[in-house]
Amino acid sequence: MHDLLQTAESSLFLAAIYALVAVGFVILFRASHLFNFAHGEIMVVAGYLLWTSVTRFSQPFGVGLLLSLALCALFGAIIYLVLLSPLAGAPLFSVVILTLGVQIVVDALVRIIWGGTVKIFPTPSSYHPVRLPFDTVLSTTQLLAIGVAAAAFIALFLFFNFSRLGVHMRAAAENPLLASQSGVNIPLVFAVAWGLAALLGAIAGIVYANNAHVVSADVGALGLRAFPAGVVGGIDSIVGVMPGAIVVAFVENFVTRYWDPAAKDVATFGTMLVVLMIRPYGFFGSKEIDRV
Amino acid sequence: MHRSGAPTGTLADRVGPRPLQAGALAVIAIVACVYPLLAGSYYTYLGGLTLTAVIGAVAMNLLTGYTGLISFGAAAFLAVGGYAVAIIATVWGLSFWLALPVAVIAAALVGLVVGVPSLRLRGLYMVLTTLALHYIVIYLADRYQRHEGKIGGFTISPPSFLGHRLGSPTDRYYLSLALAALAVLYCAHLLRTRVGRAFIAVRDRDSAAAILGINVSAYKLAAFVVSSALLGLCGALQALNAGNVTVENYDLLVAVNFIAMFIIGGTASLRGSVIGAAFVTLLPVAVRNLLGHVPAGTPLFSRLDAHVFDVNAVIFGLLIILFVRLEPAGLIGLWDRLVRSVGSRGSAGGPRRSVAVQVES
Repeated sequence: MHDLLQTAESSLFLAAIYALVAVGFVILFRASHLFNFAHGEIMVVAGYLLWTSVTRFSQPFGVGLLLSLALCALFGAIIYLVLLSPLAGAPLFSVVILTLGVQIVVDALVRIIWGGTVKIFPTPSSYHPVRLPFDTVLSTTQLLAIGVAAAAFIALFLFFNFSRLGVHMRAAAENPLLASQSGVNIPLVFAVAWGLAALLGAIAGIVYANNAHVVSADVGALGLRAFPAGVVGGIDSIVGVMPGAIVVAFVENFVTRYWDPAAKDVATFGTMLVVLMIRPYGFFGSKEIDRV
Repeated sequence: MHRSGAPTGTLADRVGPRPLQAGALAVIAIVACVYPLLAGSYYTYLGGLTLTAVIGAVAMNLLTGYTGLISFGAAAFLAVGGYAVAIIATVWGLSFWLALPVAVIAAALVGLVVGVPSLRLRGLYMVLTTLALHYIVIYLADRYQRHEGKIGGFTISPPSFLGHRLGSPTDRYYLSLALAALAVLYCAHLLRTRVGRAFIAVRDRDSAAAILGINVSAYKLAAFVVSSALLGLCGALQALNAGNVTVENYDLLVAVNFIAMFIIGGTASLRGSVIGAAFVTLLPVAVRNLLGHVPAGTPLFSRLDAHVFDVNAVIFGLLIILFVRLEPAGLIGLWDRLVRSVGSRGSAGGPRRSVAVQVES
């Protein structure tokens, strides 16, 4: 019983990471109607950029953090403006393959630039176990990740409901033509959406590395497992991301804890497959309409 | 889903060879047959790998290029073929010639199972279903391999054919050549029939195809089964060529390789599949040879030399990006344009137009 509770609580940390990455998938899908295979790599890039600015350029942690997040957001927007926006109206497949090409290039460049080795994360926050009810334990770094994810979702809620840019973004996602006729600057809004998605992925990468104490190029695989989280919740639904991430993280943690530690990918993508079979558009997703 | 100007199945691909093309085909066939006599054993081995890859590239092009079904499942189907050979020929000790058809049938059956949900899911969701298939198959393969205690994988020993042991790369080259030729001819034939036209109609607008009386579900399933069967054959041959079956040979990058083959070679073109298979198979070899020409001792060189695999990945990824952005018709599109511009300069006859196939009832 204690073990079950402990596994469930640890799943909340994983769910927080998945939610931060998956909400990026959702924002990108709403903006550009695609899956960005390169999105998970932003977690890796953010970690290494932070490591470089703190360790190589001796910047304070706060400066390194801001620098890393800003560069990642900029990177996301540039990828959209340079590579994706000229492909508007192209077959879906071409666009998905393009993001796959970006993923391969980014992953390989990261390994060439940073040598493919694990770096010690320059964390200022120290690791403390925190005792929770029923004798369970979460670390301060895990609680920090959960808190950051919660804060990010509150900020996103405020942004999409009360800021001008956020409302424009929703309008552009729903109907780009109508939105542009009402004066929404579509390329700008989409570039901001890509930047925002990258920013959230970068935050996920940094809180994850903070808990793992290392920066590793292999975290990109974890970013890919956030896909199912977004799909289970409904790929066009920001509301659905949290429940989706929680379900996927719980299944993954329980499967790896009680069945087979090597079954991570199968657990997450299998959950997604089961949900898609029952509800083809996820928990909160809207039905796609096919016009002839 | 389909946009004009993007690659289509052209009449040139659909209608049989013209006299000139027949001549070119004969030359290619002769070159392919005498190649092992001229090349060394390593290059013959690479030739065999290329011909094996051709089968998989054609299969993927049939599914995605012609029928418009997006799949990340190539590595999973290759694994089904490879493990069928490993189990039947190595673990059970039965004949490779029995394992080969079983590999094809097993992959076709898996294709049928995966094809059914594809009838319900479209576009991006299909990407995810096939991705899930990939992880499930690879997990099962890994689990089986661990269960058997074969950490390094299963050794595939060369079989005998008419009393002759296929022990050398040359023997396996000719086996690959024969099967690749059969696969390409079969697909060329399939695409010339009603089935091929239905595939293209399903790709271009499946709702419209359904209204025209095409049984969309049946053709989607057929495309899945045929392409999976061919990928199973490709996987079985790969196992024979490599002499080994292990789960590391089937990671997601392999599935991406087989997608890249028709993206780089030419979508909805059989010639494109062949060129793309050769390109993607030989690129790592070319990159390694090129790195050998970078002046040694420089810091840049030692960094690149330590990361040959990653340098190759950067070039590979950039090529995918460049072809999608700038030349959606692939290498074969570039080639056709070159031939046309040379031809129109030489004769007054103007460029031969290749007519896009219209949706027919």
